[in-house]
Amino acid sequence: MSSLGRGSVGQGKKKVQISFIIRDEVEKYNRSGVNAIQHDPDLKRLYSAGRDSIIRIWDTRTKKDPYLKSMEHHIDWVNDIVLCCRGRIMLSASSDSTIKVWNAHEGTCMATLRPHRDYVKCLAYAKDVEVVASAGLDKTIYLWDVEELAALTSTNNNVKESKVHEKSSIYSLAINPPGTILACGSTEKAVGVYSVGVMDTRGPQDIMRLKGHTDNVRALVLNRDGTQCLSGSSDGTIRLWSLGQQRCVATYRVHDDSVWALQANESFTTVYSGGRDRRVWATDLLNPDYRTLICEEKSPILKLELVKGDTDYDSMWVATTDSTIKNWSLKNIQKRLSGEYDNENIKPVYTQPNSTIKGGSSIRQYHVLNDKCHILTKDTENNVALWNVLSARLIENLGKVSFEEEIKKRFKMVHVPHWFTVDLKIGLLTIHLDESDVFSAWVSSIRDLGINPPSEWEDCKINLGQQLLRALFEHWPKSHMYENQDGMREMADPLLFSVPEHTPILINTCDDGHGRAHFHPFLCRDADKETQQKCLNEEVPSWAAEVLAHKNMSQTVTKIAFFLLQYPNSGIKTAPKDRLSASDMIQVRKVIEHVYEKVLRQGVENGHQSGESGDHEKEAQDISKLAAEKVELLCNDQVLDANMDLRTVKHFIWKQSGDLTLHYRLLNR
Amino acid sequence: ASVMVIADAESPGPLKKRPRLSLKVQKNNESKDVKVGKEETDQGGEKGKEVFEEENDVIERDLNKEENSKSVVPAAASLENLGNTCFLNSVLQVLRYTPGFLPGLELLYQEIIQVEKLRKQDVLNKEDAGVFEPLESNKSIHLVKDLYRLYKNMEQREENHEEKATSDVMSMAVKPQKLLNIIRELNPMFEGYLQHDAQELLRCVLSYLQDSEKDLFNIKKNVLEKLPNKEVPKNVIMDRFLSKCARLKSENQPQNVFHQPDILDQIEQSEAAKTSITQTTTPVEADTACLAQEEVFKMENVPNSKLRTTRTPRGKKQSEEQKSNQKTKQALKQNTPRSRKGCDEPDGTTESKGVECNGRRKNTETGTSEVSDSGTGEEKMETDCGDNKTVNGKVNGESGKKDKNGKQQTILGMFQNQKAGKRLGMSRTILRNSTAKSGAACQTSDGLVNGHCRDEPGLGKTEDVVKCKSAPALANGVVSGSPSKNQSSPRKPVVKLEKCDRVCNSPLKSVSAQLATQKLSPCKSGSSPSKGSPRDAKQRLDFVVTSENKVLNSINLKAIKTNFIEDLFLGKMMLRTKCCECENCRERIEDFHDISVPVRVEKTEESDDEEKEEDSDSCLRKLMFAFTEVERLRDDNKYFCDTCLSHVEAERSLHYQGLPNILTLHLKRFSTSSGMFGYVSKINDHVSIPLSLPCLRYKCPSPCSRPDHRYLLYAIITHAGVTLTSGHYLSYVHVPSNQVQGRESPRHFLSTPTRRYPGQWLECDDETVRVHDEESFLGMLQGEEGSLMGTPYVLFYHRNTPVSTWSV
Repeated sequence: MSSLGRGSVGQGKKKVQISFIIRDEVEKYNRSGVNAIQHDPDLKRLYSAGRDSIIRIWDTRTKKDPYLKSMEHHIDWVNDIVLCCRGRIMLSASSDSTIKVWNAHEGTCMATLRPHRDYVKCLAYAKDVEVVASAGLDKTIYLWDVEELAALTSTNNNVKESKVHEKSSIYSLAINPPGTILACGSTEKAVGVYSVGVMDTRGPQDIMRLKGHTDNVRALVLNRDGTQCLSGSSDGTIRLWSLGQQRCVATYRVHDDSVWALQANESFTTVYSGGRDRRVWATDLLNPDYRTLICEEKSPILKLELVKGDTDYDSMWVATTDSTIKNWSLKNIQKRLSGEYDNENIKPVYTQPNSTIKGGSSIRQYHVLNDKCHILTKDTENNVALWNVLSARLIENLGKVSFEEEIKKRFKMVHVPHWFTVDLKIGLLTIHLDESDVFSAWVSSIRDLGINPPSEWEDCKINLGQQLLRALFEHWPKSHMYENQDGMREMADPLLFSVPEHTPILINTCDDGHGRAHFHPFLCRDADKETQQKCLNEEVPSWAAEVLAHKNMSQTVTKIAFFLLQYPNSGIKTAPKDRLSASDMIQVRKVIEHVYEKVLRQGVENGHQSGESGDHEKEAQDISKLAAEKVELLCNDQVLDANMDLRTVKHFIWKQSGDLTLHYRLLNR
Repeated sequence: ASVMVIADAESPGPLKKRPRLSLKVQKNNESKDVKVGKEETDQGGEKGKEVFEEENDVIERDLNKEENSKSVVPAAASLENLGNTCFLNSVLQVLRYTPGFLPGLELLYQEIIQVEKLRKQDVLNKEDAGVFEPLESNKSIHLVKDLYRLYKNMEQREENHEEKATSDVMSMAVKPQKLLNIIRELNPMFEGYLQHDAQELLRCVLSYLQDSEKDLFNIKKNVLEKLPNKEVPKNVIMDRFLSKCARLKSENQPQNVFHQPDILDQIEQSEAAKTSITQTTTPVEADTACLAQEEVFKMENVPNSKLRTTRTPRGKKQSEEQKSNQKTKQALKQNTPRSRKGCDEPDGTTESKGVECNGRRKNTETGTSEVSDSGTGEEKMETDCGDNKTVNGKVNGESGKKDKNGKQQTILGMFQNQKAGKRLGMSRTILRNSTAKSGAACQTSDGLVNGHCRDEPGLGKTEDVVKCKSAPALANGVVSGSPSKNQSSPRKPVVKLEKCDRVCNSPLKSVSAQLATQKLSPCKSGSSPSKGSPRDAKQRLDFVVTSENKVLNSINLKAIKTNFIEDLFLGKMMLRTKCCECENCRERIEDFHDISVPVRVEKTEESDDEEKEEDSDSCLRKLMFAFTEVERLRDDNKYFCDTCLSHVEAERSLHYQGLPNILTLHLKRFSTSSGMFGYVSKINDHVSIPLSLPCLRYKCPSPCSRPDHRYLLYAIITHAGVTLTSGHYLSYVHVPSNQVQGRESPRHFLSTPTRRYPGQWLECDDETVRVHDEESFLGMLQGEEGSLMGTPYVLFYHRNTPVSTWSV
């Protein structure tokens, strides 16, 4: 996923990350907050732009199962959407710093625009001229001709763009329907107003700064002729500006907290507002005493979308940081306009919404278990779930249980190095694999990890990162054959496990110092499609390609140095010759055998010839058994379990840097 | 010409002398200075007057050469420039006039003196007495002392203004040489004769002062921990003591413990001693005897050591005085006994064995006698002065001497050969002390010590105690220590203890005190049966008890950290990070000591037109702006929000929550950005300085009406010149009128010339001090009539309330 904002490591050096999302094939419900909504009155459809990176299409006519379709192409929060060309085209702006052009009816992505260098926060649509403005944290406003965007093909990909630079991050945009006036709100705490001549090649002209807000301007509405502007700010006020007089003509203090969403009726007489205080107000612009509390949501309000009835707007969709979208009636509002200043005692007109589009839960907390394979999560509904990273699947839904208890319950004294990172920003588990540590985890057996490998792999050392990469690129033809050093091809080893075919995979390239990320998302099963193949051949980073297409898995196993001394410790400083070295995955059992054979038997039965070759295996087993009976190993005065490996001993029992010191003790049985 | 003077064994450590800048006086004063310095440290500032005078002489002689008395310089002490040290001088002057600073320094200084005494005494009781490390070795504590002395010096200069001041500015100038030296030692950055940043120096000095407070606290805690705990062992000891005594005692002692039994004991003792010499008890017997004695001792010593420490503060001083005199003699003494002891042991003859055994007993015995000695020492302190002090001091000094030279190590060796030695625990240290003493006493047959001791009774006419000490010592000269005495000493308290139990219920009359009385009395009466009547003794003892408890309370219980620097300069600000997405805030509270104010406000997005309109008050606005600076976390530096679970833009802002009593504003005049690459250049922009600052607390309503949230200007450090490494610093300080100062500081406290120039402003330009009245200063500040010398660099404001009301 996009690593924007984390600062690119190693300027100029290409840093490629491979990520995947653990999710259901069809995610029917919004997983996280909804940043924007658009209503298509013709098709009676509602589009919601989710923080889970998915734009969903809902049928507003059915209340039972309104889900129609998902538009999944973004890889980060979708911050804003606009429906253009009478609902045919949709533009979406995302924190992945792209703008996407969609065929709204089909729900397919037509084009991706990447001019922005930071999160794209807001869009504004001038209906009459089919112009869309986009802006974001890169302080730049772009103007787009929607018709032109809709005509984009892979061959014709030239776009005229006109842009304007602001001084600070832009959080809100508005354009009047004729597209003559553009307003933007930013952390500058001012509203910047531009005049836009459609045929003006110079681009938008800065005509004024409206100052008065004391905090970020988060919502803007312009009236049709571009003479009046409404602004909602984090300072908790709504201001009405006269653009002719270039001044604030009214300040409305209806909210107790930041105002994040504004809508006005067409005649610009009533403003509907919502914000951090979770309330939706309708305020008469001419007489602010006439205001009505329409409803009270359970989460801060992010967006309002008015739905036109027969005459005027008769209902309103409200999007919040919660995943559920509600429709509230606006009927009876006019009658109830009454001024009262004590917000506390006011009851909303409606306590029940007209209709609800139910949302799902999003994961809020995670805990990677010690085996570095299982993850426990807790979601917004306090459900605890257990996931397996290797198989990219949900293992078990544990329900509403104590997260901490489950973590404790599942504690295992094993130590496996970190080899992936977890991200929850879209409300789902996103796993990032990074070159630096993806191959650091070796295990001696993956059976404990809930995976049953083919029998011949049972006792092989396995690198988790390598196996997972192979599973992710299972359908990529290049990974089916190994290319050995002589250029000869040979069949790849069989897969030990596979991930769900619908798993979205992302190759994320952060290739310059500006935090600009280039990403390439695809589904696991699509890797064998011709276009995908071509892309993948270019995009797959070398560190991954080496283990996928070439059999170049470095078999270097981390060594661990340790001292082996007799117990109790005589306190004499150990001579360097006693320093031993072994794979950090070696089990205590093996060390015990070593002690038994090399240290103890050496003196006693030096002359003893171990059995002939036939009995070799049996002999080995006997030794193992004998050794376990005769010797035990201690670290920090703690007797070690024979199945524990040395890195676990070092991590959980030795607990210090510096070489591990083990003691052996003879058992008298 | 740098002269290294290695201080003798007595002085706390090598005193390093740095080259002086005023070459005129350097040579002939070098040796003198050293002595002065030493004496100062030894005397702990009490006899400071002569010392300072001496140092002053240096300058005075200088002045006398060019004497022309036209107009006399102001009666405010100035500081001599030691070669581009105006950065130091300006800061020192400002600190001196900082409300609450001098009293705080004074307290800290007194605390150091106290702890030094405590420690010295503690060290006497310790095994590793050889590695006694003086407090002076802690450089930051050293700095405090030097700073204190400097201010004291300045104060004295001002007091003697009439005699001293001439028309020459040097007549009122004091050299901050030592302070400069120690600062340079602490931070080599200030080496050399380049100009330094006054602000940096200020920070350094304040942090060193803070360090010293911390260190001192730790040292004190350490010292106090080693002292027996007052609360815990009370009853345990009592019980054990009782049982022990019951075992040791064969018959009940009558009430009047102090009378005959003592005398009898004494006789017995001497008898026993004689026998022990001649007969040489068998080792086994001796051991058991020792065992018993030591057992008893263990218990006794707990209070004893306490007693000792309580005595220290007074005792030490004189001992040190004496030390210098006795140095040579002591050295002689130390040599002889050591060598002799050395041969004693390996000899292994019966005689030496006897000596050993006796030595042991004697040690314990003299231990007791020493206890009594210390007790009476205390008493003496309280009751009289003069001769007796010196006597007592001398005795202590001797024992201290012994400790330091590790002489008793041989004795310790002897002890370690015996099981009993292991059991000694705490008491061992005391035993060793006494051993040392007795050893010294008994082994210097030529009687250097004895000679002294003999003199002492003569001097201390009224003090039989001294005799008590010296008498056994003399007796010990022929190895007369006897076990009987030890047995007798525990015997006596038994009766007392019954009383004790009741008395001890009150914490003031601690066990230690009671024991001390018990210990005291027998010895006293024993040693001087003719003089010490029991009643006398008892009265005295009672006195000791109370006085001692006073001391205990004043010292022991005060192991509280002083932190006047923190109290004065430390403010709290809140760092608030607000996520621009969900607008949740995270708040973190941080400490600050000063506020850096950018002189040139870069044009930022935040700057409003409204602000520009009121450009007349630009400075204040700039200052205010600095107080609410907002940092944006954006672009590649986004903030990970716990609520959004994503990297978001955020605003990080500073808010002033707890404001310090002294607010230091540092104008960022020196910037690397504005100058050439690598150079630090100065922004000379004019900044008008308000005499008072409005409330800065973010919680207060915008026109805050609370007077205690307002600040008044009391000092400015200005800088004249173009670069950081050149130019000249001077300071303007406001002499508080008494109302502002609030607390009428006690007479002995350091003071400023408050009475002479109340409410006026002093322009401190190294040696030169000019006086401006409030009006003309204000004029200068606003640039109307004349102007300030240099551009304001560091501004000092104090809370607009009396010092006494500050939450210290």
